[in-house]
Order: sequence, then structure tokens, then C-alpha cells
Amino acid sequence: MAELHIQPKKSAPSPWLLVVLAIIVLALAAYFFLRPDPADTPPVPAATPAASVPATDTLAPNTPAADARATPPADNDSVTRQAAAQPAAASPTRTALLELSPTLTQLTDRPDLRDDASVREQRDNFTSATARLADGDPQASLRPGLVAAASLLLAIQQKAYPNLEAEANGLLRQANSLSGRDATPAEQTLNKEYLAQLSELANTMSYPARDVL
Amino acid sequence: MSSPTIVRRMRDLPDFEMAPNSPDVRGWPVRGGDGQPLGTVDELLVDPAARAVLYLNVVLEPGLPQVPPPPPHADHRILLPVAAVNIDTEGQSIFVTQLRRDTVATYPPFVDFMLPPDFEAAMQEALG
Repeated sequence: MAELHIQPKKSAPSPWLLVVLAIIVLALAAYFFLRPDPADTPPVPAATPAASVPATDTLAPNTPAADARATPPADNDSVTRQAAAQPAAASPTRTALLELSPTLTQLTDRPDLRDDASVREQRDNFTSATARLADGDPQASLRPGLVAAASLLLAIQQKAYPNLEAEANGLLRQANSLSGRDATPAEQTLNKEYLAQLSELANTMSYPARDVL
Repeated sequence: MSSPTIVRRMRDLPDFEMAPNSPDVRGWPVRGGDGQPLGTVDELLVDPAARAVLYLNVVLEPGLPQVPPPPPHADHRILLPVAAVNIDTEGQSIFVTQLRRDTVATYPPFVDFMLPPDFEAAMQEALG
């Protein structure tokens, strides 16, 4: 004997309520997916030294005092002052060093180098030294980055390239002899020579150690 | 004096649905005692107050022995009390063991939705 039963349907929510909920969900999804990414906003340009210097200058323009300030007498210390007045951000050495930075960093990520504590430490030193340059810090000196790059290559040499000891030590000596400035033609020439040596040694080390004679 | 039972078609009760463990047998074949198909369940006649299905409205297959052909644009229908059938849920079939293809002609046909007062008795008599 069979039995079949029926029951009242459970009250379903209003279809308009479902429509409103769907619209709210779509609006939230559109907001999260289409909102401008903070990374897309143009960065605030760093204040240039030229803009910050007049702020500290209390002399009124076109006055005798200001004219005297604008044309300082030449003395033996003028090169130092010129170098300090020139922003490091405009230095070609800085640009070249920052261009070399990814190459050196990728070199230390190689499987035979990345686990070495000395290489890792020198890479961290190099990264922190170049970070200030990359940030456009006008007070940042070039010398820590130049020396750190040579120290990094020396650590790599000691880890994997024993036959490049002379080149690596020579590069470090060359780096230590640099002034860290890039103002005068002589300094630029020394920096350029150093960077050429650095680039050449890094290029050599980009090949596997067994292929480097 | 008890109130009369009001029988409604299931399709006329949009606020009702089949209860759990009660399959919706509409569309299921109806088979006789010999297992041969007699027709198909077309509609359920229910008592909303008791929340129970009372009858199955079955459309008989055409060409059954001794069953006169239906009038044009009409079907030959019978009502089967739910209490008199067996439901094969897995096979999705309805079995009524008291009827066969050759005896269904003696079963009272259902020609109108209005149930005559003696229709219940006639069905019970035909089912033995």
C-alpha cells in the first residue's frame, strides 16, 4: 500500500531581493578589480637639490651679496665644492653602476653561488649601497656602491673562480682608490676605467667556472 | 457531519510540492499484474487538507484490448487510488497487480474531473 504526501512549498526569497544582491556583488567586484592600483599612480618626483638650495638661501636675488655668492672666488677647494654641489643623481657612473646592479644580483642567484654565506653578505652590502643611489638620494656617495661591487666579485671569485684571484684583488684595490665623486673629468675617467674592469670581470664570471681558464 | 473531501489537481496547487520521500510519479509508466504497461501517470489528484495524494490520473495506452477508442482529441483515462498501487521508486514504475491489459477495459473510465458520488465504490468494486 503506497502513500504519497505533499507539503506547502517553502517560501522563496523575493526575486527582486536576489537581483539587488547580485547588483551589490557585481558592484563590489567591479570596485575591487577596476580601482586604480597604487602602483599605477605616477611617483612623486624627488625634490632636486636645485629646488632645495634656494629655500635655505636667505639672500635676496639681484643684490650684491647674492652676486658675490653666485660667483665665489676660485681656490683649491673649488673642486670639492663643485662635486658636492653636483647631484649624484646626474652622474654617469651612478647610472652605469645601477645598470650593472641587476647583472651582479642575478649572478649571485646562480645555484653554485647563492648558498655561500660570504657571497650573500657581499650581495646584501651591494644592494644596500646601491639602494640609496637608486632612490636618488643626493647625499649618497658613489664609493660604497663601487667598493661593494668589487667586494662582491671578490667573494664570487673566492667561491668559484680561483684562477681570477689577481683580477678580483686588483679590482678591489682600484675601487678603494676611487674618490667616490664623479665631478671632474679625471674622476670620471677613473670611474669609467673601473666600471669597464668591473663589467669585464662580471662578464667573465657569468660563464660557468669550468669554462673560465 | 464531517466536511466533504475536496480533491484538487496537483498542477492547480502551485503552493504545494511533493513531500520528501514521496516521488513525483507524473510521467511514470503504469504496469499491470503481468508487468505489461497500461498507461502513464498524467496527473495527481490530491487532498490539500490531508496533504496526501489520493488518486493517480492515468492516460491509457492506445490499442488496449476491448478498450473503445477515445473521442477525437481526447484520451482514455482511469483513476487509480494510491492505496491500491505499488510504487517502484528505483524502476520509476507504478504497479497495479489487480489489472492487466486484457482486463483494464472493465475498469471504470474517468471521463470528467467531477467525481460522481458512486465513482469511488465503482473503482473499489473493479479492483476486487
